[in-house]
Amino acid sequence: MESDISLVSMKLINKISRYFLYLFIFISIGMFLSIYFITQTAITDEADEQLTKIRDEAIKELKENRAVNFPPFIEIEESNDRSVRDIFGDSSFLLRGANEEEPYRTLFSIVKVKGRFYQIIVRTSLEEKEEMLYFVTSVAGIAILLFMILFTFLNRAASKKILKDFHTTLQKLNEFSIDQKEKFVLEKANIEEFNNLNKSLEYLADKAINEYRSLKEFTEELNHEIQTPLAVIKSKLELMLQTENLDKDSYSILDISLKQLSKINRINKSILFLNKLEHKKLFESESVELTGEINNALFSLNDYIIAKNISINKKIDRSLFLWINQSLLNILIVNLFSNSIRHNIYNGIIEIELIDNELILSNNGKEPAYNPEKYFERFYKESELNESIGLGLTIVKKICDNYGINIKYIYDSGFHKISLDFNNSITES
Amino acid sequence: MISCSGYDLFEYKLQSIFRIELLYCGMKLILIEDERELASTIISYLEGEDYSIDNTYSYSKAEEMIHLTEYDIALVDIMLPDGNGLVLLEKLKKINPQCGVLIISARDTLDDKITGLGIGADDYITKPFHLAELNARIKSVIRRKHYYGSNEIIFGDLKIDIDKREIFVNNNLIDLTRREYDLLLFFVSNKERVLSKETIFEHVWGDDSNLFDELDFLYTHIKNLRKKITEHSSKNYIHSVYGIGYKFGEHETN
Repeated sequence: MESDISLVSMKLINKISRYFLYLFIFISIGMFLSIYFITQTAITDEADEQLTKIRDEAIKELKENRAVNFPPFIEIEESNDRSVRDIFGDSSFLLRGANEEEPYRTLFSIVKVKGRFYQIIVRTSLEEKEEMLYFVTSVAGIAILLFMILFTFLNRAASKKILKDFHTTLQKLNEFSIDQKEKFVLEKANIEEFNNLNKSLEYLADKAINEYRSLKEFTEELNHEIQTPLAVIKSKLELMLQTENLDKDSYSILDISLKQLSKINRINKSILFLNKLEHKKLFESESVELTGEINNALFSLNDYIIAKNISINKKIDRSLFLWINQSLLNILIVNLFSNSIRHNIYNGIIEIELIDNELILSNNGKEPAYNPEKYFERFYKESELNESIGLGLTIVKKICDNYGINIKYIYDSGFHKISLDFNNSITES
Repeated sequence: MISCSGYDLFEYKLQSIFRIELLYCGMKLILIEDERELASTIISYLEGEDYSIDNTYSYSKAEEMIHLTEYDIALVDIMLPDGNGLVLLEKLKKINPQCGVLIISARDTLDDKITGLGIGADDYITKPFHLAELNARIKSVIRRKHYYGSNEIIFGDLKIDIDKREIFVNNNLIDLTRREYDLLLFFVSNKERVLSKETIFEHVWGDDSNLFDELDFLYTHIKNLRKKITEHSSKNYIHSVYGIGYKFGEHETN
């Protein structure tokens, strides 16, 4: 449960960062492209301006009847084409002595000088300029990238700091238990929203604790208060039982009343005991040997075992010391065995095994009809026919919970199996 | 035999006259229980026994009474409206250390039990209890105090040696299991009373009883006990009362 919640909260940070990241990538690409194109346009414009100037110089020379020719940078020849125009273009050239083609910007012009038409081609190398372009864009790119990384980290750190209060609250909530004695207090958060959240949670927790406490007190009071009237009714009925010359019907009425009354008493006692189990301090733990307790329980239940002719098959070859309250362990084991006997068939078997630190009790019995997972719930009964009050296994479960004993039930090929994992309550001795 | 709950002068005098006689046979018992209905039922149930019973509903009256009379047995409720039964118990034990004490409590807490037994109570019974159980406990306290000298119970052909846990039928020692012995002693303690199966069951098998629905095997144990007695006696002491339970006595009833 804890890991679940922290997983969700990590997602929250990621989610916030992710949105920032998307936005950032989008902006960065835009910035990068703009820088690239702006720089490139600037370079081209400058090159074109330069080419135009050179061509104008060439025209000046032509006017003085000197034709400058310096291929490939400037080439002039007479043209038959008589439409005067300027065409700018890009091309690559392999210069003599160079082993790579170089990018060039070219101006192709047809001009009319002194009544004659000339074709002038001016070229300028873009090599250096392109290099400059790459350099500028790289620097911009790196800057953007660095900024992005930095921002992501900062964002994460900031989010973490912001969410710290939130995490503290979550942590406290995880530790919260409705039957805790102390008031549920959350630290004051620096963020108003979280502060409000904490206040609401404190209010809710306090309310829950108080409601739970008063409900428990009420149950306890009720159970105690009911004890005396029950005692009076019981004793009156038993006294009535002693009346001379009662007829058969009266006996039957008394019998049924007394039986129902003792059922109420049993329920009452069990609930009182369940409530008492909540006060863990009442039960001091000590090192108790399991096998001995099992033998004691079997001994005390011997009459029932004989009555149903049940064979006990015990496969325990070592002792296991548990850190537990002895009378609670006794109640735990007696309740479990009573259950195995009660739901067993005549001439059935009860198997007791200790594998690793796990105690497995199996017994024959009818297949569970409905909801085996409800066996440990309060007042759960498979059949209305029996007289059980349905609290025995609830008590077992509660004791197990108190000592971190993992209890499981399965039905496997005609056998009811209950396993108790004692790994959390072993002592070394 | 005599139950006296008030302080009516006439009644008191009457009681004192009887006391002289009762000194030698009956036990003087004081019941300190604030729940009047419960107290009256207990007194009614104990009527058949050989006790003279005084009762009171309050701590202060009880304190007065234990100073005036030397009781053999005290039944004390822990929670009294004007005081704690345990404090009263301490005082009682100072005045009259020989007095047998049985605590009656609505709270089944180990602390009360330990404290109670620690300051001299002989037994502890939790509400709600079976009247027959209370009766058996009182008798057990009396027996432990050896008020009757020897610790033997004789009933018809039966003789029970409490100390040795031995049963004789017409002077023949019979071999009983632990449960059968407990059964018989419980029956003898509540002779001529109708005991429900559950009452018997809870006494003999203790707290585990609520774990089982079928009381059928109680019948098996009673059948065996009956057989062991009738082997040496012509009397059938254990009579079944319709479906409800059993009654122990010499005469067939119903």
